[in-house]
Amino acid sequence: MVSAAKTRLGTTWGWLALGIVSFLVASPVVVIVTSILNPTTTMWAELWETRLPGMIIDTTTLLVTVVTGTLLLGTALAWLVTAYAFPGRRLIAWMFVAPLAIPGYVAGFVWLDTLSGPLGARGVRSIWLCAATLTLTLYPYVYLFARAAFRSQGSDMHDAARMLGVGPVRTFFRVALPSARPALAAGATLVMMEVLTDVGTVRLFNVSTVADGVLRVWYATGSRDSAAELATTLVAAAILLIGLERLLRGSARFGRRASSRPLSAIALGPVGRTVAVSASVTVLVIAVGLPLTRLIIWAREAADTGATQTVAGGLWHHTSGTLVVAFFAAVTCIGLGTLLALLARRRGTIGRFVGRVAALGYAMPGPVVAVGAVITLAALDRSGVVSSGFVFVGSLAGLVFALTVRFLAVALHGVESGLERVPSSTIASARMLGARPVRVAWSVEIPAARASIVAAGALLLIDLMKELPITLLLRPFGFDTLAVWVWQATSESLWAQAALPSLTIVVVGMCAIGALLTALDRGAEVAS
Amino acid sequence: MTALEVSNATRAIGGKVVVDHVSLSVRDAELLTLVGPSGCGKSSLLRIIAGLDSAEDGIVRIADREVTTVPAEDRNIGFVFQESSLFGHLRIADNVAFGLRHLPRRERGERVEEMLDLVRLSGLGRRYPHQLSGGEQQRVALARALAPRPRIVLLDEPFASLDEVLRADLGRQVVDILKTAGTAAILVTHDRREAITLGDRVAVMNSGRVEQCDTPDVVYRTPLNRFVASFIDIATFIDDGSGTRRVARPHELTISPGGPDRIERIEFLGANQRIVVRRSSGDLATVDVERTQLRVGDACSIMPIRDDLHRVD
Repeated sequence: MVSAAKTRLGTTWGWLALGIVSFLVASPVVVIVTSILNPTTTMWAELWETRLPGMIIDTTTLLVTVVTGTLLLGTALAWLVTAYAFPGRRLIAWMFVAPLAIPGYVAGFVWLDTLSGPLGARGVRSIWLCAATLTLTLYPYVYLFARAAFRSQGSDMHDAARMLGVGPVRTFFRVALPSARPALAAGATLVMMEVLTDVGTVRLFNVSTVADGVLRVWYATGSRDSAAELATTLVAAAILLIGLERLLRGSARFGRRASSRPLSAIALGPVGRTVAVSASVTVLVIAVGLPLTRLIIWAREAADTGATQTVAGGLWHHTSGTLVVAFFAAVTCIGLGTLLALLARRRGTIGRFVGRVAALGYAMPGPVVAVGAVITLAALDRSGVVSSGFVFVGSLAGLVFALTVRFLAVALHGVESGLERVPSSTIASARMLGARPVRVAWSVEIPAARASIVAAGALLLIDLMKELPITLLLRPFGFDTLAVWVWQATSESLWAQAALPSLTIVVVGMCAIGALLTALDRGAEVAS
Repeated sequence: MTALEVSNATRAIGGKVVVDHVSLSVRDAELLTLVGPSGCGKSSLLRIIAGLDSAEDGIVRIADREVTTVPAEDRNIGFVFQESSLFGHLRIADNVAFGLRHLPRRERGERVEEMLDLVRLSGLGRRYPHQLSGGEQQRVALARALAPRPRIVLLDEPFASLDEVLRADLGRQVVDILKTAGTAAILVTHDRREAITLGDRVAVMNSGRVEQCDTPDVVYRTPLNRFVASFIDIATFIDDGSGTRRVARPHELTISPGGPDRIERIEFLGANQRIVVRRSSGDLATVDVERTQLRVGDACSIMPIRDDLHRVD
C-alpha cells in the first residue's frame, strides 16, 4: 500500500515539474501577446505612416502566391507518383522531398545570380521571383502530406467512383482531391508558417515583410518592446491561418480505411511515360540540380581564391556551432516532446492541454519567438532565480530554449502520431503482466513510436540547421552557425563565399531527408 | 433475359491461377450468391466482372453486350464493397447522387429521395457518412450503387464488418431492396448459411473454380462432390459397402447404444443435441438428436434414417 501511494506521489511531482516546464516554454508567446495590451502609440503611428502598409501588402502577396504555388506543385507531383507507374518512380518520389534540405535563402542567391544576367540587377529583385524561390523550396511540405493522404485513401473509394461511371481523371477532382483536403490544408499551413518566419529569402529579394520588419526594428531601435508589438501582427496572422484551416475541415470526416487495399498505380503508355519522366526531371533539375551545381562551382572558386574563411573562422568553427545547437535543441525537443506525449496519453484532457500550450511556439513565426524568448530570459535574469551570476540572454542555453519553444511541436506531434498506433489493449496487457507505467512507456510505447521519433528528429535537424531569425538574435557572442555565415556573406552579395556553408547545410540536410524517408517507409507519419 | 454472362474467365497473379476458367450467368432480377472459403477467388472473379481487374482469358457480357475490354466506369454495373466505401467528404445525399451527373438537377434530387426511401433512410440525406452506423452505411452504399439503374449489382461481402445479429437482419433487407428494385445481383460471401438462405441460386467456388451452381435446395440435397457437400453444411460420408459413398446430413442419421463407434463429444444446440462420433474407421460422424441418454465415451453405432441418400464421388 505504502509503495503504491509513494509511486503515485512521485509521478504527480514529475508531471507537475513537466507542467511548469511547459508553461515556461509557452511564456515567450504569452509575453508577445500581452505586449499589445500596452501599445507604444508613437511607434505604431510612425510605422503606419511609413512602412507598415507596404509590409502587410508584401506579406499577404507572398503568402497567397507561395501557398497557391506549393499547393499546385506539391499536389500535382504527389498525385503523379501515387497514381501512375513509370520508370524510376520510386527514386523520383524520394527525390521530390530533396528541396526540403535547401534553405530558401540559399536557393534565393543562386537564382538571384543566375537570373541577374537576363533580368538585370534591378529587375531580379522582385517579389515574384522571391515567391517562385520559396515555392520551389517549400512545396515538399504539401507534397509529403498530399502523398500520405493519397496513399491512405486506398483503392475502394476510387473503385467505387469508377463503378458509378466516373473516369480516372474526374475521380481525382471529385474524390481524391476533396478527400485529401485536410492534409493539403495542414501542408499549406506549414508553408504559410515558413513564409511568415522567413527573413533570409525576403531580404535577398528586397521584399519587406512583417518578419523582416521585426528584425529591422530590433536592430535599428534596439527596442524590444517595439519589436514585440510589431510581432503581434504576425501572431494575429498565424492564429487567423490556423483558424482558417480548422474551418476548411468542416464537419466532414476523412477517416482512413486500414483494411482497404492500397491504391494501384495506372501503368502509363510510352507517351505518358515520357511526359511523366521529363516533367519530373525538369522539376528536379530546377529545384535541386541547378542550385547544387552552382554551389559546387562557387565553392571550388572560393577554394581557388582562398575565400573559404570568414573573420570568425573556417568551416569547422561554423559546422561545430550548427551541430552543437542542433544537437542540444533536438535532444531537448524530443525528450520533452516524448514526456508530453506520454502525459497526454495518461492524463487525457489535462495532458493534452499542457501539450497544446507547450506547442504554441510552432504556430509562431521565428522572429516572434526570438523576441518573446529574449524578454522572458531577461526577466528570468533580473529575477535572480539562478543566482550564480549566470546570464540567460546571450547564452547557449538561452538559444536552445528559444529553439525549443519554436520547434517543440515537431517532436510532440511526431511522437504522438507514433504512440497513437499502440492500441490501448496492448498497454492494458502490459499492465496486467505487471509492468509499471514507466516500464510500459520504455519497453512498449517508445519502441512502437521509434520510426516516428526518428522522422521527427530528422525533420528537427533540417529545421534547426536552416533556422535564421532566432539564431541571429540570440546567439552567444562569438558563436556562429553555417546559416549565420550564409546570412552574412549574402547580405554583402558575396555568393562564392556563401557557397561552402550552403553546400554543407544542403548535404547534411539531404542525409537527414534520407533518414526521414526511411522512417516514413517504415510506417511513421508526418504529424498533422 | 440474361443480365450477365461470364465464360471461361481466367486470371493468374504471380503465376498462381486465382480464377480458373469460370463460366456462369445471372438472369434478370435474379440474386446469385457466390460462396467459398477465403482465398478461393470469389472476390477476384467479382473484380473481373466489374472491370476493376482484367482477365487473361474469357468473355464478360452484360445484357448480351460484350464488355470484356470496356473500362469499369462504362460497364453500367453497381458495386458494394466489403467496408463502407462512402465518400467521407460528401453528405449522404451527395454520395447517392454521385453517379447521377447525367441527370438534370431536379430529377437527380427525386432519384436520390427515391433511393433513400428504398433503403429506408429518408431524412438522413444531410448527414455525413461517419454519423451513420455500419449497417446504415452499407444501405447507403447499396442505394448509391442502385441509383444509376445498373443492369447488375455486385456485392463483395457487404456484411463482413458487421456483427452477427445485424448481419442476418441486413441480409434480409438487402434481398428485399434488390427484389423491389428488380435488379440482378451477385452477392459474395464466405458464410454458407447466408449463401443458401439469401440466394435464388448458389455458386460454390473452390481454388478458382465454380464447383457447382444451382438452387440452394439442389446444392444442399444433391452436392456434386465431397467439397460442396461438406462446405455447404456438416456432412457425414457413409460407405454403403459396395464402394459408393453417400452423404448424410446430421438429421439424416440415428444413433443407438452399443456398437463399434464411440461418442467423442456432445454439443447442446437448443432444440437438438449434436453428437460427434468417432467411427471405427477413424472418420468423424455428426448426428443431431432431440435428446439422448448416451454419454461421452459410450460405445454406439450410427445408421442412416433412409436408404436413398445422395451419392457423391
